[in-house]
Amino acid sequence: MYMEEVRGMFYHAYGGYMKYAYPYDELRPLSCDGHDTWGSYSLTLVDALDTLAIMGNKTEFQRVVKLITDRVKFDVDINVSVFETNIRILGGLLSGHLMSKKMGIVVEDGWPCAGPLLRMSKDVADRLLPAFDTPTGMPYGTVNFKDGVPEGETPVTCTAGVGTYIIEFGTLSRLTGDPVYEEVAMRALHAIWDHRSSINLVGNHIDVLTGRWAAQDSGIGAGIDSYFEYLVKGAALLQRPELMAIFNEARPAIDKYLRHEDWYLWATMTKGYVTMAVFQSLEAYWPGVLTLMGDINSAQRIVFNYHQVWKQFGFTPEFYSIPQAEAPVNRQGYPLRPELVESLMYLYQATKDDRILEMGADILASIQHTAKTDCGYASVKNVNDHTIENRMESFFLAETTKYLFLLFDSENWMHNNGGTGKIHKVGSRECIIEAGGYVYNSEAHPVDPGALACCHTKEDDWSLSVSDQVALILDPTAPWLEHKGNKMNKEEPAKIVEECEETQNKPPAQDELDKEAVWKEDSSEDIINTVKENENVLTITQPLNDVIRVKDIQQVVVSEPDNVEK
Amino acid sequence: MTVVSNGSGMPGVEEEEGVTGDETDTTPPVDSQAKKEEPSEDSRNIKEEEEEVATDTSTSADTSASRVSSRILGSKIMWACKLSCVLLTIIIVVQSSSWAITSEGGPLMKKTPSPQPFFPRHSLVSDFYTGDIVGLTERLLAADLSLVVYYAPWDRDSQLIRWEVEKAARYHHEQIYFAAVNCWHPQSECKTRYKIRTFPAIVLHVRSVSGMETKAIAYGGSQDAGHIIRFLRRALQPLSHVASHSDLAKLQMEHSVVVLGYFDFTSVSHLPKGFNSYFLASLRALQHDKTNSVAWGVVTNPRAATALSFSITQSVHLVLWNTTLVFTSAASSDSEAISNWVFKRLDETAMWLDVPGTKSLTLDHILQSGPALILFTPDNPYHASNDPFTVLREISLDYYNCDHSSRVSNLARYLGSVRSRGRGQLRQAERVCRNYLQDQLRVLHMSRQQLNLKDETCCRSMPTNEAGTATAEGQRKVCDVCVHPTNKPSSPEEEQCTNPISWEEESNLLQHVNSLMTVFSDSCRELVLQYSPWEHYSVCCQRNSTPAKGKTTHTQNTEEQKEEFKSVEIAVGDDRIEKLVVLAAEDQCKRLFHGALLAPPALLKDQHPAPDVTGLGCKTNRTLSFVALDTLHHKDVAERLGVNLTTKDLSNTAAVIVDLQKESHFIMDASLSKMTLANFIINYTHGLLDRTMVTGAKHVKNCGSSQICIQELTSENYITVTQQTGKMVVVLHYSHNCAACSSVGHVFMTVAHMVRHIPNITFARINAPINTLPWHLYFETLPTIIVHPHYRKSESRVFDLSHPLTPANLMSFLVANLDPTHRLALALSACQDDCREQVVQAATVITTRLHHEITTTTGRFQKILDRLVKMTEEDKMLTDSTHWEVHYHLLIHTKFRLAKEIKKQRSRLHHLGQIQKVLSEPPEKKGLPNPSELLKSLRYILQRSSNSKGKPVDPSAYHDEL
Repeated sequence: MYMEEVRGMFYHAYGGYMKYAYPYDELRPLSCDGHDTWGSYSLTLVDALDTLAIMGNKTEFQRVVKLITDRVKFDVDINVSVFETNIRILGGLLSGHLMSKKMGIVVEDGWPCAGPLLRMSKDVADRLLPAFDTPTGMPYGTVNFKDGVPEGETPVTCTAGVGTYIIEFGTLSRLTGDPVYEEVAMRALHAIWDHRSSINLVGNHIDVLTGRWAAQDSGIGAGIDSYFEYLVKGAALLQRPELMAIFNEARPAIDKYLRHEDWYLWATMTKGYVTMAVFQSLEAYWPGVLTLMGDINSAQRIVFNYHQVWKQFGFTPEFYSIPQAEAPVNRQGYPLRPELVESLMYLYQATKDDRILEMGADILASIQHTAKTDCGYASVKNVNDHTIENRMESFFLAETTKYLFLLFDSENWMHNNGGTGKIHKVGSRECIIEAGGYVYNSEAHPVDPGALACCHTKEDDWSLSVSDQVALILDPTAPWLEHKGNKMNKEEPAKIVEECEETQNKPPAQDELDKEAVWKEDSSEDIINTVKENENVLTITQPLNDVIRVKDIQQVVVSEPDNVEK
Repeated sequence: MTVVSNGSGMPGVEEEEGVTGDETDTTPPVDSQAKKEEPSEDSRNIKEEEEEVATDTSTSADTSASRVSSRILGSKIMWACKLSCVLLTIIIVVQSSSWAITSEGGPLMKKTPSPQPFFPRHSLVSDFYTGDIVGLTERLLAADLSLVVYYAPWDRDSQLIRWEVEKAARYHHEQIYFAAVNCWHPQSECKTRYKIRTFPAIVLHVRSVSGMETKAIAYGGSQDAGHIIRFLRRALQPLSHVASHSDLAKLQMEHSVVVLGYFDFTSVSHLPKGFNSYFLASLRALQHDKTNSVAWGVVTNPRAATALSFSITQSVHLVLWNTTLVFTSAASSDSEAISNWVFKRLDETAMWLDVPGTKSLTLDHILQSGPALILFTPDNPYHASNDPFTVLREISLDYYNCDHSSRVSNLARYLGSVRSRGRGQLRQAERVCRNYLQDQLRVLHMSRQQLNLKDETCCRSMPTNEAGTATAEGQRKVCDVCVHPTNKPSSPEEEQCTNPISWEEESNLLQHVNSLMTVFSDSCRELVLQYSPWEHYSVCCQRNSTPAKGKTTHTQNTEEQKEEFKSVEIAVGDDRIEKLVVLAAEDQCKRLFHGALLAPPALLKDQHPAPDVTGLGCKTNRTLSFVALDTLHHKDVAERLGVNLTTKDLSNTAAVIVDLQKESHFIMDASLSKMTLANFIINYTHGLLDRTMVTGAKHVKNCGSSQICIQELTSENYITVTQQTGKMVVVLHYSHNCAACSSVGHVFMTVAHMVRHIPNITFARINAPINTLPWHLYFETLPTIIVHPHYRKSESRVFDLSHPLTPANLMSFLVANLDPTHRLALALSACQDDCREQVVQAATVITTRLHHEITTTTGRFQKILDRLVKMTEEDKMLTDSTHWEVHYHLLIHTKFRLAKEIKKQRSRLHHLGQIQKVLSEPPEKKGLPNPSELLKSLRYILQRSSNSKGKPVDPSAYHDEL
């Protein structure tokens, strides 16, 4: 029931945009017209594309893809925010590209490693790349689509603006095979962490030329938020444990200095002294991240707090002063933000607690009651008196409605957690796509990790290497020392391949001599092994053959009586 | 009373401190400095001085006022109001078109539209939707008791509570005034006066003795009609009269704790001193006592007081399960002090848990402090007592009765005996109700006949599902759905339906019809459930095809009990008594009906004597605490513990022991009775219970042709699937919510897909958090991939996650755990042209080398044999030399080794030959013929490995071979 209501909400806003605002960036829901905000690239259209897919509207999806490929151009002389363009445009194009097949578009050969939307994404990313050309590797905040970084551009960027690229850029690198995007994104991520304070906190603004912190307040909200989000999500999407390692280092500091009860405050990054006791609307993504990494208990406790704020105003104000229980002046707006819904969706998937659904329904009810206008949904200017203003950010269609829909549609294919997949052939390789585990970028554009593997993984990472195959075929009984997944001591680095080569190259006589020389040791080793076996302490360090051999011994023992009888 | 109101948004009206959940843990440390206290009692009261009528009194106030004076006039005014509302909105629309600030180009904004009525037009709840506190206060002072909902129109809970309050109002509107006030609208009087953190705030206003002010009591229970009604019932009668020990016992039956106050009414003509505070304390207690566990009794005459061991008047006793406490300073204390004294000393052996919808650590506190027995059972607010909970109390009383006190065991026995009479009492109640209904049906029939056909045009008959199962007389069941005038006057058809029956009459009729439903079938009852005052439908069901209402129903049902009915009629003489009897019966009926809709009465009769648990709690260091949780609201808690509530005999009832320290919980299998529960506790105490293994639901997925699906294991089939001999099972232990788990799904599937042709390898996965597995299969981190090998099942291996989980690494891990046959099959199936070439090349080289090696080894073997022969000859000369002995054995050993080596080399040669044969087949026969055939041709490898690689366990075996 709620699901259909959300669907209606989406189409009301989407329809309003298409009717009154397209091809402008955003709809103005009170005056019922459009305007350009972050660029002039039909932002809302690109952003809403995959929400159409998630709601299952194939025909409209196909129509919009055609609109985008035909009409949207990036070869224009405008200054854009690197961060926003990345998460909204690049993210939207990439997820649209990855969903094309499922949405019934006839994809070209080599999809998902090629395709019109992917080429557009690459075009956008290439125009963003100049921003990353700094001494520290951290990008500028603004770039011109034609001329790179504008003259006199401020080098001060927020932490999130530095560390929120790995999902989109990583995806692009793995799909296109060009590693440069992933490399610059990783470099920027690491650069931030390298500039952390001695107590493992990061500030919220940094000078990308010098690496000096311009704002030393540390928190989990505005200015920093998606940096942490991308550490967790990037690690999962790209199988990069090093990102998770950073997060696991950062988390104890956050819990120690910023967390008070189940609130997160702001503190100085150097000493950890509390500077601001506010909850920010943007911080509400945090329980979702905690859920993704398995800390459901904390996530639930925190979400209950945030929901209380929602209940007090009907929305979460941009800032909420925890001691005064009020929204400070000029921070009383709610531009239809998705963060709380996002956390609720993850948490509901994890707990299936109906209480979470009720929280979602609370959000739905308030928005429907207050923000709905004749042609869309309007941002709330003041949560105290529910004044609304003439703006509908594109993330309302990209994120808020999407997460609400996914919250209530618990059977949606997006919730696949790796139980089923589709076999897809790229060249000679059969890979698995649509196998779930979708990772949403900061603008709720999902990426299919299976599709990345289709295009990215080197042949060696894909399956057994040819040399391994050869070795196995030649001698299937040889000890398989290089079993990468097995926990083992690194004492025996000898590779089978090398063994083979050695034996081929060396004169047999020499080999023989060696064996002769060590034969005594050999036998003594045998004895040790036997002892071990008798005590039943077969360790993993032993070559596999020993394990098999034990079984064989048993067979021998069984067959012995027969011999005796004979 | 200083409950901190804080930044975390504690529910409740700020001016009414401490009205809500004390258990909620949302207080941030920083906010205590900044909060503002409003501690004075007076601030809670709505003063009369604000009573003067404001000049701009809203229309709604007028409406509600007029309703009291005259119904007909009221409805006229309402029409007028409606017109004016329409006018108003037009004005607003006109005005609102001017908000666009076009000239300055400033930001365009839109203010919140003016408030609209929140409750339906005909509601029994007066709606002060403009936030008119003055008007409200006026009305509050006109009633003894008023229930007021402070709402925000955008708030979903406020929107939902309308229905519930409406239901409660239909139940109690004759005794209590129901109102609702918009306490959110900016600039409204209510918003400026009160700061409400969580909507809706439901407050009971009690007019004080003076009649000049009201006392506010916040309602903090569940937001459903049943609990609100229970709260109101108690508010209407907060004190019970206690005249004897048996009255006290009756109170103890329904409540775990009884407060008794003794006030001597015999000697004085006015109220005894202190009684008023005591009375207020009992009302005040309602806001703390959400679980209905404390009863307040009053003793009025000295004789009874002596019997209950009261010495002086104006004293208060707190009767707990094992002791009675005396509050000495009762006479001088105000209501707050009394209720505080009581609530600080509560002690229950078993209690209902109050788990609000908000953040709460109640359950956590109980579980952290030790093992707890949780009884899941419906807490039906319409039922006075609950048998499963009574059983729990009986057992807990005995369990904690360490010093074998007779007071405690008597109480337990008394509870049991009252419980055993439960069924009889229910029958009695049903009989009274039926008689009442028959009487009412006549009235209904008559009133229906008086209403002319106008009404009938709006009714539509709809046959119910049970139409097929018509009775012998050919009667069909028919439910009439009557559409009553709605708020939308646009449709002309609906306009016709507007009839002259006033809402009161209608609602009375509805009530009767509703009550009737208890005697009808289930399908009709469902229709009633769908009924809502918002849609203005009413449903009346009959077991006849005739559209006339009431008539046939009446005859059919009365036939059997006509005589009984008469006898009741005769017995009743006095008018007032008759009225009382009717009222009591009506109340009885309503409760039966509404109670039955929520949950059937759970009756437990002891079939077998229960084993004795007296004092068990003190004999063990695993002492249980006993709590009950309402399954009408918290079913999900039980479900997450793996309790299947539907299969039990008693609906929605189950018992679970949760032991957090042991990370275990135990579900009682047997259906609940005193005996089974006692046994369950005894078994737990003696450690005889098995940990409950929770099993996740089995999803049967449809796997399409181009799809690949991984088998989903549960704790039930995990062992049987993984421990099959001859099958290698690779299991992914995952959690349905962790990002790292679901994002490797494709890797797992890729490998599963690549080895699909290799027989006897199964890929499966298990959702670890919802499937309990034995401890050795419990992993700290997820995802975890574990391989259960073909034969040696104890040799399971776990993938090392410090390596990235790529298809190649997973594959390599598999190869490491495969036996040679399967390895070879795997390698061959992956072998493409490139690999073939290399293999053939290498095979030639190695073959040559092997031939050479065999020659040399054979030569050495020959030498050793020669030396052995020589030594046996020397043997005769140097008999007992130890040096010779050592040398001899060394030689023997070398002989075995060389023999082994030769054998190994020979079989390698053989193997290479085979491989060359297979791989040099024409390239168009790409891939490999048939994997099973291929394996058959390679069977020898397994054998070879067993022979050549086997260690010389017994040298004699090798002697034989040589």
